[in-house]
Amino acid sequence: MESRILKEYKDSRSLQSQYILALDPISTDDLTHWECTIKGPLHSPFANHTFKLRIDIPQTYPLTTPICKFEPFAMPHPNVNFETGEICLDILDTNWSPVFNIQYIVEAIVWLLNEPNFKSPLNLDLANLLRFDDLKAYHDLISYHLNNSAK
Amino acid sequence: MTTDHRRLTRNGSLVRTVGTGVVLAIGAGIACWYWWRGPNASQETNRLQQKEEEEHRKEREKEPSRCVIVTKTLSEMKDFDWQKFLKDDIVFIVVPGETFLDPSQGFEIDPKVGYKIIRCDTILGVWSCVKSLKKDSLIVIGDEVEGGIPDDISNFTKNIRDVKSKEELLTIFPIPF
Amino acid sequence: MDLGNNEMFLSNDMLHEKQGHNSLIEDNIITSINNSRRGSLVTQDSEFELDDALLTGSDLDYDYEDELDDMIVLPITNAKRKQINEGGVPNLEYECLTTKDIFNRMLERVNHLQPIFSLPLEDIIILMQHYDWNEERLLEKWTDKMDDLLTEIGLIHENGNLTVNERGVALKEDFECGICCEVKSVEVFSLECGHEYCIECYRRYIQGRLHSGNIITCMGCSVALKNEDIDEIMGYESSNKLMYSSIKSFVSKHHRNYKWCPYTDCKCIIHLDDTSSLSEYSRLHYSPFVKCNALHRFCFSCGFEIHAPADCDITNAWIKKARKESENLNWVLSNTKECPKCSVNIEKDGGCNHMVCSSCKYEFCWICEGEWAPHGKSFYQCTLYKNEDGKYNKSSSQEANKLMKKYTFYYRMFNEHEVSAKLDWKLGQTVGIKVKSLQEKIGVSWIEGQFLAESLRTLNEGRTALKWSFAVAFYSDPSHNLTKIFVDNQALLSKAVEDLSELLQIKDPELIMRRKPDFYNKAGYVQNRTNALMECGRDLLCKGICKLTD
Repeated sequence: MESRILKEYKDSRSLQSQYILALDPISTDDLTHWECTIKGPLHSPFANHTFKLRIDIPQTYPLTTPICKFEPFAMPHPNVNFETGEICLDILDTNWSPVFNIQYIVEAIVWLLNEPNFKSPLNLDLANLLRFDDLKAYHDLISYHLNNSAK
Repeated sequence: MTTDHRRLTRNGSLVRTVGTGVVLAIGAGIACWYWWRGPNASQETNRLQQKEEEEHRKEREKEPSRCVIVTKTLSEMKDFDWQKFLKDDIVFIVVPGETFLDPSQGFEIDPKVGYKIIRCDTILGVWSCVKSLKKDSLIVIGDEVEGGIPDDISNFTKNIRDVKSKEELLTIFPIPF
Repeated sequence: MDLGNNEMFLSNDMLHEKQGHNSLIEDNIITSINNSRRGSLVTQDSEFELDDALLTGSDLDYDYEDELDDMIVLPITNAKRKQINEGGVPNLEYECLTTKDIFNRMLERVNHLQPIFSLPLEDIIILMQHYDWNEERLLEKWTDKMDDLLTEIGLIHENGNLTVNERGVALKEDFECGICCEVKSVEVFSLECGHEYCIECYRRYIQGRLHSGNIITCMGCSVALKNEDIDEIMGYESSNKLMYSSIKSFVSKHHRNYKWCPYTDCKCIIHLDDTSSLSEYSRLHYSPFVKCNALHRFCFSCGFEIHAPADCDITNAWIKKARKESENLNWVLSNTKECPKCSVNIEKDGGCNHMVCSSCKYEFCWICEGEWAPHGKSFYQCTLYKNEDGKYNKSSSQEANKLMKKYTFYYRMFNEHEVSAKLDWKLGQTVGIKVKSLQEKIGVSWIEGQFLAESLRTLNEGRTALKWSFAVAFYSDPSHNLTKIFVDNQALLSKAVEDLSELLQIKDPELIMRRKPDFYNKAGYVQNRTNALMECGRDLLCKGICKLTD
């Protein structure tokens, strides 16, 4: 769906968003692989940290969802697989609609950082912390992982 | 004369073919030898590289990563210089109800290592953190932890050190004179 | 393991059912098969008494609906009862439905609900699809929050009172579609919500969702597309595909009571209302075998082919193991082997394992590649697994090796018989031709020629039982006496099956007729031995001698 991706690329040039620091294809020749840098939302344990997202656009886009992943070992979050960076988000799976675009997806992921869903976890330990309502531990453990991998 | 000449030429061509045959054989032999030695040689360099890597790994492994659960005894050791250990690969998990290097009690912690202290609101949260961190060894005074040490913790850490007394604790964290 | 179509046997059985004289004929054939020495003249006479008009070949063109009617009306005869009620398990009362039947039933349920919901039928269908046709849940939610439900499903738009756009297709010029971002003059579809997208995008979108069985919503919001919209966009009756996938999801959600027939291209569904008897079946190590309209028999519990004497647990474990070990076993599955004496390549083309090498005339057994003579005389030696090293060795790798060898042996036997069954079936295709040639050349009536088809069916049953008996033998304790009896039974059945298979390879019609008593004898013997093997296998299971170990 080339005109569509082209349009999204054009729109991304004039993107202004509080949490999206960068949203670019890896090369202007190939618009099917994008990289995005996001900022952690303010009142979450991810504040003051930045994260890289890798977005791959399949041939059947926009009828099927793009494939989004964090970098491995970079995002400790109940709905993110720490080792692979895979994200569990409903709109990236069953609730995808062709009217969504890349920017919307990224914004939804930023929103997810703030509002984790412990019912469909990819990181059991963090999800359990939320389930036990141990917010202090949740906050500190995420801090630990973020600062440790930053080394 | 002609017969001799013919014999000579016949012999000559014979000699020539034998000669080329020998040269070819030698060439093939050398090629084979190089080919056989070639992978061996690269194997040797590989082996050297592997040895180096192993040495590096062992060096890293000499410092096992540690996870310490801070219970009553530890939190009461206020004069102990815990901060010295914060620069190692270590993490302190504080059980609910205890304080440890608390800023409100006047402690100042270098923010670069301050993240190595994880404070919890629930005991279940403590064990979830231990499982998530997957450090090499776990140091805990089992008797002071509510509910004891769960059975499945051994799947998440190699070495569990159930400390029985304060003296034993001091042997783990030695303070040089 | 694919399950071949037993179309060959359609003609035989279907005919029995349709006449209503099935009890008579079936009893006759069974008694004649069981009576080893009785001549066939008596049965021929009784067969001639029947109305020949019913027995013409045109009856082979069959209508399943008639069959269904007849099946309901037929009394369960003694012979049938014997087959169903072996050893005290309750009768399984089930019915076989086609996809059309289920479709109709689903629509019936929708009709029932209409007075409650007072919505158009289309909407109720959507509601039902959303709740996987589980009416109780739907009614619960309905009584709680009616409007929320409707909005959630997309039957009414959230901002109900906004501009009510026309739903449907319209032609627009220079329209920029939000999905494909192309600007062109194209037909555009929209619902009441007002979200418009070009019809090509909608087509692709619907195409991708047709097979999910869920309701399809507007691309921009959650308002639901109704079946008529789908048909309008896709241009033909696509909503049926949606219904079909709805049916699939319905059957899979109610999988305890509904099962698809596993045979290829057979779309029958078996509906079992009362599943309480199934636990009784598994306790007695029987398997609930059911038959669909196309006369395909399969096990209701596991959905596989009939696997007596093994029960469902053993079957599952065996199949799992086979999948795991498939790479190791490729060499045993080859259809060509070398003659043990002259090493010429031989391809097996019939089910019989008695091979005669065409070049050196050496007679050998396909399975064990040993000489045929000992096989012909006494027990089938190759069914007996000989534990080669009697020494008990404690090292685990050797144990695993031994286990692997043992498994390889049993799997090889299992597979040989499966392959043989397939080859027998191919052979069966030619039986029809043989029967015809019998009729033409010798003037044998059609019903007389049925002994061939019946023998083939008996052979097939025998082979299936034998095949699965190897799975049972693998998991059995070899030292127990009953296991040894079981193995003996296997050997006897093997021999019986080989004899019958050999008979079926005769090509000359006159010879076939001359050997008709032999057919009856051997088929009867095979039937007996099959039953004995199944009983013995069941015994092994019930007594716990055969059990799964991890």
